[in-house]
Amino acid sequence: MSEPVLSMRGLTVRLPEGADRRYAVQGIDLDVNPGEIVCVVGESGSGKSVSAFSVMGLMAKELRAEAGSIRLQGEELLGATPQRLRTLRGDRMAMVFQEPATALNPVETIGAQIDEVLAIHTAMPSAERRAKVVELMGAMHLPDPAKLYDTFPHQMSGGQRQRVMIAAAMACDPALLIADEPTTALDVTTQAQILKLIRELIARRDAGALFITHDFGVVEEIADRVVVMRGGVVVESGTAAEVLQRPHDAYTRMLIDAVPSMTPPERAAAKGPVAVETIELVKRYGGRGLFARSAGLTAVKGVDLTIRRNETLGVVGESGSGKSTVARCIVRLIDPTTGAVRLGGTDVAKLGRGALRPYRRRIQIVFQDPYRSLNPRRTVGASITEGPRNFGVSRADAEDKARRLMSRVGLSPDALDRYPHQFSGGQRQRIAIARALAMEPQIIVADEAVSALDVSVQKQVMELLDEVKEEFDLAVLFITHDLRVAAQICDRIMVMQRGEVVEAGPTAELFAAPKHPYTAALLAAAPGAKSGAKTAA
Amino acid sequence: MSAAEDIAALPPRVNRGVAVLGLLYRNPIAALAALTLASIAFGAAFAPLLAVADPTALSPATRLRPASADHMLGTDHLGRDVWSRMVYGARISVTVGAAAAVLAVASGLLIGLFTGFIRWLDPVIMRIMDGLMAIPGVLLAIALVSVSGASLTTVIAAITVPEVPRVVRLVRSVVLSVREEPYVEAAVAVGTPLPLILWRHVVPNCVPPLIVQATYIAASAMLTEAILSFLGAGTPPQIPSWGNMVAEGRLLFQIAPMNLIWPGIALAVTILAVNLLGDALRDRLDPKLAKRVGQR
Repeated sequence: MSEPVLSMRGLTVRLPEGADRRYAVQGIDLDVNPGEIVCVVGESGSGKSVSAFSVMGLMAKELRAEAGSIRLQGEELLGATPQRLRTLRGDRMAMVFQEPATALNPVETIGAQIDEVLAIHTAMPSAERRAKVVELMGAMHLPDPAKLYDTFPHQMSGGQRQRVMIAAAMACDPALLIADEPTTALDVTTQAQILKLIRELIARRDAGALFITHDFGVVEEIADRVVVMRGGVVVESGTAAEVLQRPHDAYTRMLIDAVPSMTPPERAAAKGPVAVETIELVKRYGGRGLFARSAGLTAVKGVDLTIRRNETLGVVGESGSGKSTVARCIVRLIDPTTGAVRLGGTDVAKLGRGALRPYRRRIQIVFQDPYRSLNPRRTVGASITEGPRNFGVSRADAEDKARRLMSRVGLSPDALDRYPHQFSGGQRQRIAIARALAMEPQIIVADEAVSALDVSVQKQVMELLDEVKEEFDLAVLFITHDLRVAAQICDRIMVMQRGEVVEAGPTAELFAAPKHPYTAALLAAAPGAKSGAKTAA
Repeated sequence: MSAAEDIAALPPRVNRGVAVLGLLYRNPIAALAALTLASIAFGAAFAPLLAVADPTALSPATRLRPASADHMLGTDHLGRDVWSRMVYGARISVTVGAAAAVLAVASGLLIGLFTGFIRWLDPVIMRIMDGLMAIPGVLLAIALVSVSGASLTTVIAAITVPEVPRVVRLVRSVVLSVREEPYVEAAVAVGTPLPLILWRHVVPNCVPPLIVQATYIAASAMLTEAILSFLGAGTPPQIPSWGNMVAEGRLLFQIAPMNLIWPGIALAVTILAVNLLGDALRDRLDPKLAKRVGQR
């Protein structure tokens, strides 16, 4: 009992030549005891995934473990033959991946995919295996497992698919479960359920779990012990309570402080003039076409919203709530089916391409994915000056403005002739903000603009958005799925579910006393919500 | 906050031209193919200097001579110098290959951009393209040539038309995926007019696959030209082309087999070189393949 399930000592993995550092991970010590969940936390590039993959023997070929040992129930894994590793994988150690949509084979039924694990590792006859698979699916709280056995992954929701992945991982009662960001791709309410399920399974089966995450909220929910990694080394480890309440390392403290608090800060109500307003905005997809005929889907069902100058309105919702569709209708990247979008005194919802053009510059958008929102083949200078040049600003003036904006967003003006791939994600998001500001807009739509960033970077970009809002007297429409982010940056919040606004109000009021049950459910599901230990930053 | 972040340590820019040169250096087969094509193009360009005689001058007295000092590759059944006909024939093949590739890619690019970006045009144009694709290329070419008469221009047109739908499909697929890219939407949001969006943001993404497609079109055009000439529906017989030479050589194959074999080899080598170069470029320019090949 006292022997750890997994014991990692001095693990050092060499990176190939030309990488940004010599070792992916260096001198990692880590233990996982039975019935314990150990969270490995770190930002992108910290080496947390490499540690997990080296346990499974699934490291990329260019990586090589140079020193150290990894013992699974006392058995050394680093020198093990591929055959031995194959036997251990699935049987005594199993893994759950981040993206349940791609980790399952789309052309096989889910029952068959769970069955595969049993067929490989046990001698059970097929009828017995089927019974066992159905039992496993039941244990994952999947509805009607006998019927679900024959469905395909695409017929299930993301949360159900992740349950199937966990069922396959737990099929042979492994001693060690490795979960690599298993809830990152899921909605908050689903995430809460999956975390609960993993907790329950680990406790009941007395297995150990190595849980990789970047989210301190998740750590708070699930971890018994925490290992914080940065740049390939462990900077701090200890019990969850120790690390979260009394972090010793400055980096850990910075990471924990960077997690947006669920307590909204005091904000005065905005009193500026109305910058943009939608009236009964409806967007319906499909249903018509020359050759295609489809049932159609109403993504947005009559949304009314108003944003004043120097005000941030948050639109919060899970995937499929229609929040991004609202944003795209307002920017007129798509045409609303019915309803009005009023900018000043003009309804721009139905304007044609030419008539719309003068209004384009008033309303700008910052996208989620910093790697795709800048044309990789054009210099960032060309991207920032593109808009002003479209409206007749001379090249010299546009470049001058671009230089000033680069300084404003915290980047060197000399970097204008560089290409996007030479910048980090956070830097690119700053460039995207500079590009939006170059148009001197009145309204900025931020569509999940900080969701793809590490917490420390996320905090900086949020602060930047808040600053430019004040400075340029902007109306900001902030689309997000993350209530913690919304709490920190939004003056008012609108909660959307299935294309409808279920609740709207000032941020502090909405967080203190949610009126709609869905809002309450979202608030309860937000990771780290229940402790409430942290106060506003 | 917002202190200027350190960007001094960023990697330097990579020059695209250097990357292509690097490909030739690392891949000897591609280098050999490029060299072969360069010498064929050189031969075609300087045909009047390389030819020892007028390729159309008849000389019944010296028919079907074997290779000799005067006639490097001998003479054909009308006493014309085979070497001279070979270098002049290269002009036809190179012209047809290059012209068909350029024309098909240019028109395909234009149509593809329209179908990809103008929603209501898409089903109409794509059904026309489907219709074109349903007709065998050589048959369509024969029909076009017989309607409008045999000349180099009609042959090129006849070869280009059946290739266009393939280019349109390729461009359309690129446009449909690039159109959804946030950087294109950002360009829409900053008021960039549609033609400029296409030119700045969409066309550059079409270029790598189009270069590759162009090499395949060139190879297949040369082959189709030869087939048409062989069938007597191609380049007019008075013009020396490799296809015509094969067609004429066939009649007297038993007596003078080399008159058929030389242009045959020239065709095979040229088409092989074009295809090999195309494959190498595809491996290099397709990001999905480039990674896999690079690890080898």
